[in-house]
Amino acid sequence: MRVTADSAKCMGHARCFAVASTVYQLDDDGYCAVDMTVPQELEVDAERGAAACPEGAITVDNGS
Amino acid sequence: MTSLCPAHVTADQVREFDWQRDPLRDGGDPMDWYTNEFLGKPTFWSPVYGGYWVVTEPAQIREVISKPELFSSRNVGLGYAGFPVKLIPLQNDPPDHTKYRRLLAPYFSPRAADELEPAIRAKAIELVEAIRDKGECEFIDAVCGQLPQHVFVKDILHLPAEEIPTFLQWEHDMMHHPRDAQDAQRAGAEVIRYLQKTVEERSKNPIEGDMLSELFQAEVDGRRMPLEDLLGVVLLLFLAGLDTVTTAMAWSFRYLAEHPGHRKQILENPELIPSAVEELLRYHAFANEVRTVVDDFDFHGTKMAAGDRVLAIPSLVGRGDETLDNPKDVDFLRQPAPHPAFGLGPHRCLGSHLARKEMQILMEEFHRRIPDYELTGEPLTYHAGGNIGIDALKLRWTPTTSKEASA
Repeated sequence: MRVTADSAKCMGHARCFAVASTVYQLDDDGYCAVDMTVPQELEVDAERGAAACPEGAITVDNGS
Repeated sequence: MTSLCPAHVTADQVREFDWQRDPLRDGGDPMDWYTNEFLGKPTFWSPVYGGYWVVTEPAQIREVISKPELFSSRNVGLGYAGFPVKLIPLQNDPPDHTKYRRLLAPYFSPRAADELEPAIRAKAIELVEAIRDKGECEFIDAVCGQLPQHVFVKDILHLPAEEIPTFLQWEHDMMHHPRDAQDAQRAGAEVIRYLQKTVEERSKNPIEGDMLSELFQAEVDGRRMPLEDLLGVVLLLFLAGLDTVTTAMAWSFRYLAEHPGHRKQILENPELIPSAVEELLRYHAFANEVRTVVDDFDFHGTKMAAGDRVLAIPSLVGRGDETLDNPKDVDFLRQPAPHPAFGLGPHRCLGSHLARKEMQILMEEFHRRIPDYELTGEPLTYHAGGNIGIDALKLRWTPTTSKEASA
């Protein structure tokens, strides 16, 4: 699984971080620019964090 | 009234609606009124206040709030006089908005909110300790109308705590239009005078790490911000950051007072508090938003014209979210919902992280000391318009001995 935050869409709600800080890190101002392959044990967290984004800025790619 | 409507509005789209008065007319909960009256109904045009669209469909409300290229924020008032200075950057559209927003972001980042945690917690404990043995309180006066105000005045503006009662009075007078329009105008002018004096003082004697001192030095487009712009920034922080948090806390504690089962969940499992705060925000997304149409266009079948005013009601998104199971229920265990209680898009509430932190801490410290409480039963009264809120919230409880409760 790969998660990608669109930095143009990220408005700094920081909900991804609040829900799944293991996957989503923020910059100093609280914006997320994640683009990473998610270890299997964190896939549930990654999905929850992406679903919590009010801007729909995070894409989850299951590679299928 | 219909004859006064602009030509692009059709007769079947007209419904008279006054956002400041109609949600209060039946005396019930205005948030429920919105849900019952508007959810599932089509967008309509109200001829009140010179005319405005009311967008009711959740996905469309999201667009109105989050797309400044279609819906400008240049005028956010509806039915009342604006403030003597432009509220920056609330009334700016991108790209101007972005420049100011960048300057402010570091002071309101999640990390900045974390750093304020000890100060917030100390004040929350002090406020709750002051009432715990009384067995009753008016929650807004005693607690939630104090906490965000103290943090703002003392810990963000670095002003003396003695100034807080004056700020509370200004806030009261400015936020209670249109009932006291003259008071609101006078208070607005007084706040600006006070802030001007403060900014001038800070420019001479800057405080290390202080937002006002640093904003005074900051440059936008290679130039120092004119004083008027800086005042607009600070006035906005004052208007947006105090009454809103108070309102959110009042709605949340009202819900918990009326729903002992939900309260029991957070008493037994305080780790649920961040989820509870979030869910109560989704359910009580009380901050309505006003925009202005940028160009003539067709918005999902509604012909809108440049300059049309548009009202978007975030609570309808929270309660009408069809991706959630039973969105009209409050469920602290549900998946985190992507609600727009703090707005969406570039104008997303700058203070959202601080607000959440204040709400979480108050919920923790209050329930640690006063776990079991209820409404006194006096009928609640409300206000509506930009912010939908409760006027007063009287709670009562059986005082427990101090040591036992805080153990």
